[in-house]
Order: sequence, then C-alpha cells, then structure tokens
Amino acid sequence: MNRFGFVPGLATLLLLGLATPARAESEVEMLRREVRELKNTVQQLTQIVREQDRRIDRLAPETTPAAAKTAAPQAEPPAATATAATAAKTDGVPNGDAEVSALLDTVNSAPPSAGSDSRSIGLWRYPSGGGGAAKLLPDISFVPIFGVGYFSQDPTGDVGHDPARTGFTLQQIEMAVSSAIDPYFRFDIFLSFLEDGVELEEGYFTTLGAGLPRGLQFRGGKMLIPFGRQNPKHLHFWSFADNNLVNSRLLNPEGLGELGLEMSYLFPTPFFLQLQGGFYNGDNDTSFGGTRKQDFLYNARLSTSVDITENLTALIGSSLAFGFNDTGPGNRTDLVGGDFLLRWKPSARTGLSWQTEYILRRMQFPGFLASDGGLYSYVEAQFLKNWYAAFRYDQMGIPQGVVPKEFRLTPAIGYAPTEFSRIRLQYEYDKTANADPVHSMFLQFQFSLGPHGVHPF
Amino acid sequence: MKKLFYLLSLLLLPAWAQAKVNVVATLPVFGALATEIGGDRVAVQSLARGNQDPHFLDAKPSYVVALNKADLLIEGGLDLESGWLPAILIQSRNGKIQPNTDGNVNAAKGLRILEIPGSKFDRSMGDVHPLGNPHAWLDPRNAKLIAANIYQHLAKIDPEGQPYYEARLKDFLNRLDRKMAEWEPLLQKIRGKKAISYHKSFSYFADWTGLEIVANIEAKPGIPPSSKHIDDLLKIVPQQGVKAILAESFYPKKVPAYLSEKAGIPYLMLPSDTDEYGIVTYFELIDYLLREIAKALG
Repeated sequence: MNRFGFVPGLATLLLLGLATPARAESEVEMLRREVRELKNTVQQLTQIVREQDRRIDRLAPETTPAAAKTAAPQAEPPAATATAATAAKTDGVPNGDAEVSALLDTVNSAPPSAGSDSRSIGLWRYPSGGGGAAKLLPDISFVPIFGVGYFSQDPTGDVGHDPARTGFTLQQIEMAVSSAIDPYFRFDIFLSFLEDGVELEEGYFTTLGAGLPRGLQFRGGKMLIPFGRQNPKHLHFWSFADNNLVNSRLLNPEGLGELGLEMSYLFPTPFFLQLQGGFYNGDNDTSFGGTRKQDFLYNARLSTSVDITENLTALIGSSLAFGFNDTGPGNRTDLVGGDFLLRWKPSARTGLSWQTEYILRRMQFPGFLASDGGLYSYVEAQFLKNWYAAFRYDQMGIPQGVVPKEFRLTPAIGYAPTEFSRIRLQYEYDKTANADPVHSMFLQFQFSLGPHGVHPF
Repeated sequence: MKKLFYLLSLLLLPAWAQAKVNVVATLPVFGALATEIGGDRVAVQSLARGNQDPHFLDAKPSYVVALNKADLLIEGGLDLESGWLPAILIQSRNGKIQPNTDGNVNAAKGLRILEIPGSKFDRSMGDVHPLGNPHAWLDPRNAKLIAANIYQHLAKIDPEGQPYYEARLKDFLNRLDRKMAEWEPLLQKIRGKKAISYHKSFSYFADWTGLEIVANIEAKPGIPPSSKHIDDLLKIVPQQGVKAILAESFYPKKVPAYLSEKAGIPYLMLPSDTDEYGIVTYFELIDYLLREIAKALG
C-alpha cells in the first residue's frame, strides 16, 4: 500500500509543480538567492581561515605540532582561537604576544549572553542574547503587597498605604521601571497601583557621574525626599507593615514625596560622609502645602557611616527641612531630625539592626507656634536565614503641640521563603491620650516579580 | 592652625594615595588576579571577603566610598552581584566604572558560560541565574581569559603601564601553564570521580577537572533541600558511587554533615574564593581545591 501510495503521490507533486509555473519560478529565484548567500558565506569563511592560518604561522615557532594535538582535545572553548591559548601548554615554551592576542580575541568575541548588561525584563530576558532590541528594554518589576487584619477599632483619616480596616487591605502593587538613559543619566519610575487608581510614587533621573566632578550627583523629578532614614524607603523595605508613627504624623503616611531637584555630594574622606540638599514644590499638606508661588520646600541632610568592625556598621544622620504651610500666607514649618543605625551582619543568614529616629516640627499657625516631636526605635533580627523578628517603639508628643500624644508597641515576625516572597505577622498596641487603646493584628504578604531587587542599606 | 593643617592633610591623604591605580574587585579572587597583572602599579581592594556568600552582601556605605575612589571595578557579571552592586554603583557617582566603560571589567566576558537556562524557565525553579552559572573562575582556562580581560582594561586606563602589565600577564600565563602541567597528576586522580555539591559553585571546576557533580544539595538554587530530596541524595550515593560532598563554609553545615554520616562519605568544606583558609593567590586556591579533593577521592 505504502509503495503504491508513493508513486501517485510523487506524480501529484510533479503535476502540481508543473501546473504552477509561477511558483516554480519563485523557487528558482529562491535557490539562486540561497546560492548567492552560500557563496558569500564561503567567502567569509575563507577569509576567516586565512586569518587563522596567519595566526598559526605566528604561533608556529613556539608551538610544536605535538603540543597542539595534545592541547586541542583537552579544552572545548567557544572560539577556535582560544584553543591554543587557554589549554595548558605542555611544550614549556613561554607565552608570547600570540597567546595574549588570542586570549584577548576570545574575551572580546564575547557572546551577548556574557555581557554585563543589566537591562532586562527579569525572567523574560533572553538568556543567550536575545537580540539588540530586547537588551534595550528597561528593567520592569512588580511588588504586590496585601494582607488581612483585625482592628479593635478601625483607623480613621489618611493612613497612606498602612493596613486600613478589619478585613483585607491591598497596600499597593508597586511597579518599578528603570534604565540607564545614556552614560550620563538613569531614570527610575515607581508607580503605585491601588484598588481605585494609580499614583506616581516616584519618577526621577539620577546622574551617573560621567562629566561631573567626582562626588557630585543630581537627582530630579518626583522623589521621596531624603529626610531621615525611613522617609525615602519604599513600603517593601520597611521592617513593619505600617509606617512609623512620627513619619505618618509629621511627614506623610505614605512618605513625603515632592517634585524637585536634589544635589548631593560624597566627600573624599576615607569614611562615608554625604551631604544632600534639595528644593521642592512643597505641595504635601501634612506639614507644608503653602499656596504662594514662592512657597518652596528646602531640605538638607548630612549623613556619615563607619564600619566599626568588618561586620558592624554605624550610620548617623541629621536632616533639616523648612517650607511654608497652608494655615495662612507665609506661615512657616521647620523640621529637624536625627537618626542612627547600628547594623551587625556576620553572615548572609543572620543579622541584627537597631534604628532610631527623632523628628521635631515647629509649625506656625495663625496666632501661635506649635512644636511637635516624636521618635521611633526598632530592632530587627534575622535568624535561621529566612526568619525575621522585629520590635518597634513609637512615641509622639515629645514635645506635644497640636498632634495628640500617642504611643505604640509593635512586635512583628516575618518569614521569607526566598528573596522574592515574604509573609509577616504583626501585632500593634496603639494608645492615644484620652482614648481607648487599639489592638490590631495584620498578616501581610509581599511578592517580588521580575529581576533581582536591590536592597538598599 | 596646626590642627587645621593636620585635618587638611588627612583629607588630602586619599588624593595622594591615588598615585596608584585604584582597583576595586567585588570578590577577593578577582582582586588576586588583578594583583598578578597590576603588581606595584595598582592598589587592590576587595569588597566581599572569601568566606562571604557573593550573592548576598550588604550594600554598605563604605562600599560606596570604595567605588567612588575606584579607577577600575572588576565584577563577576552574570548577575552574581545583582543583589547589591547596582545600588552602590549608582551611589558611587563614579562615571568611570559604570558598566560598559573602560573602568569596568566584566569577568564573564568571553568565557564559555555553563548552565544557561533554556528559554522556558521561571523562579519556581529557584533563584536561577538567567544568564548562566556565574562561578566561572575556578577553571584556570577561564582565569587566563579573566587575566587577559583585566590586562586590557588596565592598559587602557593606565597606558603608561601597558608594557609592565603585558610582561606581568605573560609571566602569569607562564606560571599558570607550569602549574597546570604540575596539576595534571592530581587531575588524573579526580577525573571521572563523582561528588555532590551544595550549591552549583563547582560546576566550572568540575568541567575543567573532569570531576562529575551528580547532584546538588540545593535541589533548586537558593532553596533549602526538602527531606525527600535528602533521601534521594542518600540513594544516589551508593547507586552512582559518589565519593564526597563539597560545600563552601558559608552554607549550612547540618545537611551535608548528616549526609556524610549516613552515607559514610567525606564532607569537604572548601573555599571557592581566595582570602579564606590562608589562601592569598589564585594558584594557592586551585592548589588547595585539587589537593583536598584528590586526597578525599584518590
């Protein structure tokens, strides 16, 4: 059956071929093109072979045929040029220019896969060099954070991204897009997807140092301003599910983010010493929001860090900000802050941090000046690689002006199966003066989709 | 006034020290190779220590300072340092050492990369390196290429020293060739022998020596082994004739110790970098690995 089937099949094909001369013609065209291409390839190959020959000639006085034979099967490097160079030479003849140039040829013939290009869309990156266009795509990652909680009394007012109610809270899905623009700039965009909309969390350029005096850096766009340690940190790098009390009350529950320009300088000292200064619109209405056109917000921060031992690092900073508030034309707000961090990190699996920050606000109201201050202090321990335990003390009202006196105690425990996921359970005791204490419990889930996140210090 | 003078000279001290080419290596082993090529013309500093897991380092402010002062940065590439290096590289404000500049050596360039995942993979398979296994320096054939790579960058940023660097590179290659001939008897002992390793840190070493790594304690990179996987490993040992367990000192010791005891094979705690076990040079590192592994398997 098969045998007989073959003949009519072939006949049909032939007939079809004859019946469609146009197609046959195009096939001839195709063949011609292929032949041309092949010719080109052969020419190219001939050229390569000639070049290789020349190289071998140069090698000849040093490499005996016997050595070349034993060397060849030992290694299977990517490029033929590397064979002689990377395998052990057994002839005892010293390495010369030919070896060096062969090695350099191999290094510089790097396949795209070995390039250091950090631009990629994480897991969608083509691992073995997926062409030029793919490499130009920016890094894109998402960090969804949500959870479920119980409050003995649900919070009221603006709580930012903090857990908001008994039941489920989508704290945010952060989308980060970043890329180097050119040798001079990079740009980072952080969008915050919420249940009812999208917010621009940050979007700013950073200079990369090329063409600038060493130590100088500029950033511009919308930024979480570098006032203290906590404010510039994104939600998924917080050690707790909610913002620190003093940050919420005096800066902003979501963090004080403003449009502006920042200049910073890293001093050429043997230890870390950095001065950051910036001016911003000052639209944020927790402490600012002045409406006159000259109502800008100015911020400065000086921070220094030393490694006390190889595993123990200290960081001390002080911040200053002033601007105008919306309680009346020309009413000023001054913020002063001090912070310190002690971090002990003996291994990748264990660690202990202690961070404390104090913020004082002097705010002019019509007819009076209010001074409000507060602090937080927390310790966080990493143990058994994946486990984190943290305890925070929050206090408002030192001194007390217009913000009610309040204190909170917050223990939390977290488990991070990998770097890309984390589950956190947090209890909070919150006591505001002249009110019943509020107890709350929150179970938080954090995920990270996309390229390896970089952990800020 | 005198005090002010001292203070000023203290501030100027780093400027004076910059007479040498400042090389910052992410790992000590790259620092060791840079010293081979750069000799007296370079001042080498490594960020990680030999006993630290290169995947997880804290992006400490002191690293920012080191990178700010660097003339040359040597990184492993292939996302080895992606958890901490990019952040400090931006903060370093140093345009000379950013990726794809003369002051940035990507050590993986031109190497034959092992274990590049196929097009279909995701993180349910563990913390897979999308660009392939980055632990490439334990193969001396790669060390030659890394050394040549470092040489070409040093020659570019310090053209006056080019003849010096070239002579040192040739000398290094000669010594490495002599060593590779010397290592041959040890390789004979290892070739074809089977071992289990904790992480995929020894893939390139195995590729060079002919040692066969039949399984990893981490079934998926970065994920601790399940008890089922440990049972599987216990079965593999007699089935395949596994002779030893290899692990770096920064990995948990419990599982390898348990396997070693149950299966009756040695547990070798090994360096994968210089700056540990008194190892300073690249030669000492490979010497140490070959000696210890040959001793256990031979």
